[in-house]
Amino acid sequence: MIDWQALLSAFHILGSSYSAWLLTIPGIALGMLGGAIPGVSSALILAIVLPATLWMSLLSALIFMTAIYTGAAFGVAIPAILMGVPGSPAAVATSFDGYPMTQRGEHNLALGLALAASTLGHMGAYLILFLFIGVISHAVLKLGPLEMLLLMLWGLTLIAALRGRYVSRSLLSGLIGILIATIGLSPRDVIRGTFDLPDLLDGVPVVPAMIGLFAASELFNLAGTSYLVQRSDLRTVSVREIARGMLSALYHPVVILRGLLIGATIGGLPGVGAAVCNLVSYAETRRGDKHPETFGKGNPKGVIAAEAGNASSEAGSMATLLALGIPGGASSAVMLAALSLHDVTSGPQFLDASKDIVYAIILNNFVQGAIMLVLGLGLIGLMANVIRIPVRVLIPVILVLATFGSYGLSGNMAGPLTMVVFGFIGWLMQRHDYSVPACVVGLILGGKVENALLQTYQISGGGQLSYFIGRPIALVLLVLLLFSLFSRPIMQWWRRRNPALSDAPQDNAVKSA
Amino acid sequence: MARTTKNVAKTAKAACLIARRPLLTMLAGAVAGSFAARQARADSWPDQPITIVVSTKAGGGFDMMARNLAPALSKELGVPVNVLDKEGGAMVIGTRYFLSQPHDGNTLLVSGPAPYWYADINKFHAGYDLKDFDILNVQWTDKTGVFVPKSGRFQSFKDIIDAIKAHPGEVSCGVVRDSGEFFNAGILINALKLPLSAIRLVTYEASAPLRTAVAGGQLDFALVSLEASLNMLSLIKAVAIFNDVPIPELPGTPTASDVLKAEGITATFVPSSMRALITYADLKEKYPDRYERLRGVYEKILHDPEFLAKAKKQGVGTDWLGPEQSLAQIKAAYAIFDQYKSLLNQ
Repeated sequence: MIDWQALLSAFHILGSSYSAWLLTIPGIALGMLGGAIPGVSSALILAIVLPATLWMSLLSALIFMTAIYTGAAFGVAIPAILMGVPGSPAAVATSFDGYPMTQRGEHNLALGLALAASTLGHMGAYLILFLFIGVISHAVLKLGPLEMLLLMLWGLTLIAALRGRYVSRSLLSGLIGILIATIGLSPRDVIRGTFDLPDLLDGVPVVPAMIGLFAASELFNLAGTSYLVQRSDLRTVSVREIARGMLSALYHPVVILRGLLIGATIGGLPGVGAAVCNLVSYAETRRGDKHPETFGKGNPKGVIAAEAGNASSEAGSMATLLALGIPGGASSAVMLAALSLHDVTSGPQFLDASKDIVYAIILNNFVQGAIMLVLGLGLIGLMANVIRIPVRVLIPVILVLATFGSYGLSGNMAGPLTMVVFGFIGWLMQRHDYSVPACVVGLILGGKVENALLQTYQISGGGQLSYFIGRPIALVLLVLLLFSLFSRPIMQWWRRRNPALSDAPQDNAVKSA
Repeated sequence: MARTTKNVAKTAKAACLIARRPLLTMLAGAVAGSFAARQARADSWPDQPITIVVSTKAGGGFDMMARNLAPALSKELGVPVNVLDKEGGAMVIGTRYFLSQPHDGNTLLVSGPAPYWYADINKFHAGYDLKDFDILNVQWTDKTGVFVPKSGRFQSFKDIIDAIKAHPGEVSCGVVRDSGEFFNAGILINALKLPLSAIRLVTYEASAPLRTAVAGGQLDFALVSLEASLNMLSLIKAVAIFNDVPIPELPGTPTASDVLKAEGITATFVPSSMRALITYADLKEKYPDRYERLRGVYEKILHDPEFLAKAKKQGVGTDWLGPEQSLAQIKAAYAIFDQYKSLLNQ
């Protein structure tokens, strides 16, 4: 698996190129700060620095860009935890439990958990990448539209879990999200629901809509209060508490491992990426837990699952980028552009021809994890102070930042307008107990699910059963999906019917979960 | 610098001492002066950064062409040249954005007038037409390649055609929606005298995921733009090319028409994606100097051996057809699209 000659040469390159190391720290810091502003994605930061990478060596450029990627993957968690406003779809699941923790005054703990889970997810996934880069990238190729469809349906089932007071209203809001995602050109090129507005041809811009929904539903709720954290004695920033959070993440190795495995594989799927990883990782952790009802109310495991999932997706998408020249998402597409700027033909032969550079990037990313731990500790120590800001000051500041962020995303007024419109929708939904997170999950996954569904239909000759039977991976995924959906209700039903047997199987069920 | 500051200070002091009316006159003079300065700068165009709008995502062939051209244009024009990717809604979002910018030559467009604009115009009510643009040059016309997975069940173009004829509806074929290959798949099936349902046409939104699907063995074959696929030859295999003659990069790969001719089939196929550098139709009239400068510089770049070598290494096309011939080629392609317009509704 490991090419020792190339590894040795990678150490040599890294040891002799100080400029690559010099760029690592500012890269992580830039990514983290950018990611912490709602609406600023890693892809946007990468696109901004892209021209500057022309003046760097290929290795320095790639390391600088992966450092930004690494930093941003954690940075987006900060507003998600502190204000309930995820800055990118990658951090949606982080906000589910992170924000309730903040409201309880456990912001230090939550940020520490997120930082540790991010770092471990990042380093663990790069370790997998280091060992199995060739295998992973080729395994990803084996997943066709049917498998993608099943994976995304897995993410969509989260809608049912994200219920508020009424299950039916949550399902309905998930459906509304999916319907909003169908606005624009369909994968079959049908124009739907655009009201002849050319700006809507590409659909509703997801990130501004998401920020609007979350910001409005959370922030308007706060308008009556004076501070994010109600109890004044808990309104502190404590590095000790953050460190305690970081340590306590270590007590959940299974959650982290699951997250990084999901991230390292799903993250590499072209067009899926971090947006799906964090949702699937969260959904699986919730489902496997003894007390799923505590999720969404500030369960630390929710934060760990989401962050381990989204941080490890970087390694997944780097695997397909470096080994096959296939970008898994917007960020790696910009890196692909950087490769071509450096006259490098990316593609399968890149890994063979430049294995030393690939190893050097991976090795550097281990160190990036360590640097992120230190830089992150400093940054969250600083950022956590937002809990001391009175809400009447905080809300306008966040709204202004988010407006700039969404302007940056769309490059015109379409972004801010979308944010305002969805802010109003979010406020209405929150007021009437319709789950906003369920709507966002539908909005993020709806379009992707439709595309995979259409391709599955086309490739199977109009849904012929023989195609499905010939795909073992899909069948395994289907069984897993059905198991994770129905194992618990079936067990409960079984226990109710056989009360005498209840003790023994219950223990087993918990262990296997 | 220091002297200027001193002068300004002196002027300001003087201004304080003099009466009000002369002050106004002076102000008016200053304003008029700045106008004159602006006018003078206008003649020495360009005096501000130029933006190339790309109507697709970063990382694709259109983006590559723009990023390859930007440093060369910047060197010739003496101002920074930026690339802005505005993808979405087929090519409509980026192209409309370009049209909404001031028509002063400071914004250029890299887009696909054929075949993508054809769908934009005829299906998506994009609100623009060929006559709104001046196609400076179709720089890069890709060819269509027929690709199969390395270990797929078909290993030649003839195998594929035989299988389609023997088992209609069993063979899957991937194409990018509304691309030249999308039309070519329809033309091919039409030439075989079969309905389009004879193949399982699987549509992708871009060529990168399509190539990935072929590499992973998800499809039996794909029609996909050729040049950008050459990087992936260790995972996918070319079994035919849509070109008049075989190409040196793929020795031993026959042309599609040769294979079809042996089967007694003839058909006229459309060119693959045309990637062009484009400006506004009214630029030539409004700013004839700028138009000529732009065109001249661009032509010069495409004849510069150093640029050509670099572009070749990146696999970017470097044809120089000029505005007239470019438009003629696009119109010729549109004439064929018109015959197969019904495909767009598949």
